[in-house]
Amino acid sequence: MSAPRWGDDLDDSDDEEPAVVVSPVKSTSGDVTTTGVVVPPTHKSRIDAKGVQIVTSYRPHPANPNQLWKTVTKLKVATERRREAKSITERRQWKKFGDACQDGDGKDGNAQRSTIQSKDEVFLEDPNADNDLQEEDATKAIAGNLNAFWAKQQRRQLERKYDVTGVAAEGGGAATGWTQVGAGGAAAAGGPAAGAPGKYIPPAARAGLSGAPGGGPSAFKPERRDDLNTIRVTNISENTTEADLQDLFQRFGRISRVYLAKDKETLISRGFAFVSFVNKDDAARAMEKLQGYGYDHLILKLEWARPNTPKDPASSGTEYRSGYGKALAQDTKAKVSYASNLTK
Amino acid sequence: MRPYLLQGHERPITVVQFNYDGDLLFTASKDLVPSMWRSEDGQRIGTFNGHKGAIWDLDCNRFSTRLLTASADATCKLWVLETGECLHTFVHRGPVRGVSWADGAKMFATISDPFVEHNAKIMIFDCPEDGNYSEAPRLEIDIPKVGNKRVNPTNIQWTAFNEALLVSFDSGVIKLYDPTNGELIDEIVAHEKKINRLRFNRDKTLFITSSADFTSRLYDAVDLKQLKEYKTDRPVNDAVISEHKDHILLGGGQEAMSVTTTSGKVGKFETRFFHLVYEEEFGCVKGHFGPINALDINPNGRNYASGAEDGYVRLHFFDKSYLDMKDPVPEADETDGEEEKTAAE
Repeated sequence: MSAPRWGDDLDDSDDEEPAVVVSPVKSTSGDVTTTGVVVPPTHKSRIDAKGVQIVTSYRPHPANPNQLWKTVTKLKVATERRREAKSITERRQWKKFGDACQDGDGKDGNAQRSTIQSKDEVFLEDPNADNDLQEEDATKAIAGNLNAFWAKQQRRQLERKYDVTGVAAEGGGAATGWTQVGAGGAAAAGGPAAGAPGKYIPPAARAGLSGAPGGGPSAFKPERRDDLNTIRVTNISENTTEADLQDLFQRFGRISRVYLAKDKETLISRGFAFVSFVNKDDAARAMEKLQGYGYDHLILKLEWARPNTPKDPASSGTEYRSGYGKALAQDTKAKVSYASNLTK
Repeated sequence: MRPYLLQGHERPITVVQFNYDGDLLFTASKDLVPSMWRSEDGQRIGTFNGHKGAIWDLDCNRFSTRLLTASADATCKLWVLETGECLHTFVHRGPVRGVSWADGAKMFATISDPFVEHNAKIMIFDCPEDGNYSEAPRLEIDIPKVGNKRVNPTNIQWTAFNEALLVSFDSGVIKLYDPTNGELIDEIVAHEKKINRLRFNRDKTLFITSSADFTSRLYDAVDLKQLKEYKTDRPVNDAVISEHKDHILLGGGQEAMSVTTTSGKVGKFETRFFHLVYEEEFGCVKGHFGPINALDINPNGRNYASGAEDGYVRLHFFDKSYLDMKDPVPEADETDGEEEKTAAE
């Protein structure tokens, strides 16, 4: 017989049915009596440090009286100590009265019970979630809510760091300086204003980057620094979240921002994202390693994000000029096939 | 979580309440029979048969020995919890809208609706342990009409140490009465519309009101200052302050009258979870198919019960994810500074 091993069929959760391994054991001839075999008593092992107890029990084989069934049950024993008032213990002994006496236990055709457990699982749902997405499970909902909270907070921090709140106000649009690159449909109006004199210049940009292409010291624009380290990732599966991308890319270096383009109404991923690294070297490394990386049944395509030049107004709105609707990339200059997007 | 459905009532639930220790749950509805349930498994322990009208309110005393029920049959009954025996019936002049044990459980206060020529009345009865219940109340406070309009009280509660009686009205007013001489101490306009429920937290430092004006407000019980406001898009029927987390549970939904005229999907019959401090809604639990009339959270924080217009009481046990949930901490400035530094490097 093979003894059950850890991870084979043992279920760690204490409220589940214990895994049962039944294996026939031939009894020795000495045990055989006229009625068959002597059934040894059930043996229970001590509860070990991990809270595991092994219970070995025997019963006669239903067909063959000369054989025994041996059942080895591995149990995870969890003791929960709960203190309760003496009065509660007393109240536990109270007898039923009134109409409650007629409450059956629901078994064997007894009167119907007044308490039934719901068949449906209910969850604490995120009230802010889109109606279509409400089948998410509870943990996700809560986590999502907290994520939103952290995202907001991070956003505020970044805003403070780069002092872009004013820019957003000047631009009059919803776009802030640092979200423009990834803004699939966001207004680009805030962009040029960011270069206004007297603007706060991030320390990292003050000395360096002046030699970088297109970034002359006089014509410095804060968001360009971001552009240079930003990778445009396309051909991402719909199920990928920003957190997934963060996981994927953070091994190459510090990430300043991950933006996953989502449809405004459905909040479903549009299949591309922008990942900004703090250091360009890290970005280059990520580019090299993840180019053509198979991620979630699709092959990632990475390219450097284009510098954010003011587009003609027609393209920056939410209108789709491609004629294929929102699914098709609006960037017609780079000839990329967005097959994954079209299948949607 | 898979809630227990408690199907003891045939009419809309009016009130659900856990006892002080959290092992018993009391429910009452517009049918005539309040029920007592075990909160750990949802088994019905008993019913209190005897009223001839809808039950508007009930209150179990601190020691879980006696229960008071307020009924529309113009009586208030005192029951032995263990056996369901009715000890005494206190007769009123109108439907009894609310009942509340005083701290110490030696007396209780009731509030009755105006009826025919009678005004709304607060009555305070003694409840001696020897069982000599007097028919006459210890104190009777008459609440006169305002102009020509009848005032309808909705709830009555004792403040800490029995210092005052808080009475809420359907005009949105909360009045504070002195329980020794019946004088009106204070009066605040808490809401624009009817106050459906007024509830204290366990140590009676805060109370929360639920109103038909779509909001629920948290008040300081000492100076009657509004601290927080929880906004929803439906009338709020009941709100309760969690003892273990800084959370508020709100129950409500569109008014029962308009349910049949709108689709079930838009009903918003869920229990809503708000953060007490940030006033932000972070979760909701669905399940009822009528507006939630009554809510209570177990003092041990492990489960909560909601009763609705559909006649069901649902006893929910919180998931581990909720029990372990940490509330988001607002951004701290020290960490901000560190971020700045590392970014500069």
